[in-house]
Amino acid sequence: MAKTQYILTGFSQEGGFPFDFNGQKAIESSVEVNKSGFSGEGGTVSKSTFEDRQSVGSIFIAGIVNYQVNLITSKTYYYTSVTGGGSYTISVPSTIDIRFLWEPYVAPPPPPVSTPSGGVPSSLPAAPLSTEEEWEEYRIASGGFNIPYKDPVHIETQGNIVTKSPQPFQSPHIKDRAAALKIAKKLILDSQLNLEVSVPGSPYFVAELGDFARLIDPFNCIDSIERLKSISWNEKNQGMIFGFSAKEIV
Amino acid sequence: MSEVFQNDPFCIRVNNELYINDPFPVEVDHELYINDPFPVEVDHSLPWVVWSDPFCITVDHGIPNFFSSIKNNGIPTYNEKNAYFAVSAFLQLPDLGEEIKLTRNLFSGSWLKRDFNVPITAGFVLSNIDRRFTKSTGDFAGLLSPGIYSPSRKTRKFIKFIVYIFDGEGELICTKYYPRLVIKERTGGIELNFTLIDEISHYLNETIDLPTYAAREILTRDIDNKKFYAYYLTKKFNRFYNSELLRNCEQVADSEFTFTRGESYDTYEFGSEVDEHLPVEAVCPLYVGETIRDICEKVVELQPDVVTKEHFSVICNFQDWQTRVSIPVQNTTALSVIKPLIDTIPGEYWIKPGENNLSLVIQETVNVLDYPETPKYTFTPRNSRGDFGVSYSSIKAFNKMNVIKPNEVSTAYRQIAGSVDGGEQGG
Repeated sequence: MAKTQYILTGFSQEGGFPFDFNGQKAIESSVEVNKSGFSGEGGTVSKSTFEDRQSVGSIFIAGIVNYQVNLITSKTYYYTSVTGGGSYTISVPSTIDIRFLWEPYVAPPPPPVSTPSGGVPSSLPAAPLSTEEEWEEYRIASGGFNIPYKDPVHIETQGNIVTKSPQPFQSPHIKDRAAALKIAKKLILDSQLNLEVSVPGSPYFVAELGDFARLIDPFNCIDSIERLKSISWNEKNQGMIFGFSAKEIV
Repeated sequence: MSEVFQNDPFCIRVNNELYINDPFPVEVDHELYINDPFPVEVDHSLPWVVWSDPFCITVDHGIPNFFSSIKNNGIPTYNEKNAYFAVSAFLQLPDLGEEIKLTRNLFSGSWLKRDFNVPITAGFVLSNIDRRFTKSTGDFAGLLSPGIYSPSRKTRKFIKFIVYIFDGEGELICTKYYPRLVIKERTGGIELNFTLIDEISHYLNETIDLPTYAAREILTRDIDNKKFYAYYLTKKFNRFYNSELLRNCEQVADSEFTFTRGESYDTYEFGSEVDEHLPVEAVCPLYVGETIRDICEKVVELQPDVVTKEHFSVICNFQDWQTRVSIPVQNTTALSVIKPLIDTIPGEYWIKPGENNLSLVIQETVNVLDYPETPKYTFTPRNSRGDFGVSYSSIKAFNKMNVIKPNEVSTAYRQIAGSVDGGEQGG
């Protein structure tokens, strides 16, 4: 006998759920529960137990099948940045489409009613109704962008040598294209600060992170204005160390 | 006495000794009111502030000849060359309202390091020759162990450094405070070595489990196909904050549905039935800065019940913006959620010490091309206390990169064919 199909679309909840075969009884051995489509990262569905069971001859029939849904609701992205890189995880609104296939149990016709003329039975079981609709799933993508940025000054001075960053910067939370450009410029310019400079200084505790200072060190080809990126002090040697990132004069 | 003159709206130079271009106002310890128009004369023997209506112009230090070499690229004075500092350490017990000074002759070897995007780290050594700091009974029992809370003493406990800076003649120039340092590690016996981390970073590096900050949710459908329920959205539906209701990925007009707020869920009711195949989704964008602040509040609230919940100040020096993507906070540290958000400003964070508390400052980074032409200080081998340490960065320079914002991908449905009881119909 042909199997009946029912599809639950856009299922977005996790856990165990019952399905009642649309009021029919199903032959247990014929029941299939599987995934027919998904959105986001999708998920899995599996058949678990039957309820409302009956034994009919050599077969079991059931009124309800329980199924278990697990959705993948997060996705981890890995990135590298000048500050070391890392990873972040975003929530993905995943759904799955669940397809139920079963062979309806049709009770055998009652024994023929004896009539004097040996005629037909008074009634026959109704044929099961089948409902089939076909829906097509399609994806809509919006809001994203991929901005390639080249540092024009550096490329010009370096003779058109283009060195691409090992990894793109990727985040779903970037405000807009202007912010993306800022991020690209910032990471490119920071990567070009190829020197870590530590300046041993007097106990100038008024200096604060982010202050600007001109570094002049002819012995190391440094003469530039840089931003104070770290401050440390040690009572033992009575001094402070001011840390900067700088660009070597080449 | 010396002349003050105005260079430009944001700079004041005092006899080439003080040069200030801080954003206004800047806090200082002492103030001196001057009503005269520029140029004015001030007494350099005091730290001072210049007020001139309508602007409040603040100068950080009026200490003459103190570290003038790094301000003017000059030769260090005697006072500067021989300046030194001393450190006192206190045990802060905010829940008991006490601060216990750690005896100076037993305390030594203090150090501290501050940087962008990393915790304040510090350390010190305590001489414990008479075991007074590790005895199970006595004044310090339970107070010098790692962690933020002492169950036996029922108080939070921190270390606070006060640094006293003296000039070459032994005159106290200023003091600097580093409060709320949490003991992270303690080693040794006769000599105890302590490693510290600031309180805010301690909280931000704890593993937490919070409900996802949900910016969008596929709504749960009622049996009548008219009512839909939102259980998880962090923000309430509000058109003013760019909220959207999407039916099969298309925005629904306000006239087509009503919205009712509930305690445990919100209800969206359509005027007519929505086909059972079509998903209905609500998008209520999150403000990134607001989310960061909320996570910072929650990390404190997630502390055990016995710990007093004292929120720290979060200073967001950037223009807040909205994101339409949910932010999960499950089984992770607050920092690993916050830092990628800060990176997209693009920004940086640092821990700002106050006198008794710390603040988390989040700000937009400064692009190298936007550095000012007139810096605050000049460091040269002449005015530093030793040679510059120079090493090459491990980051390989690049001049091209891609910045990617992934698309929001939604799934929509359309009917292509259908049959009911064997009948066909087009979609």
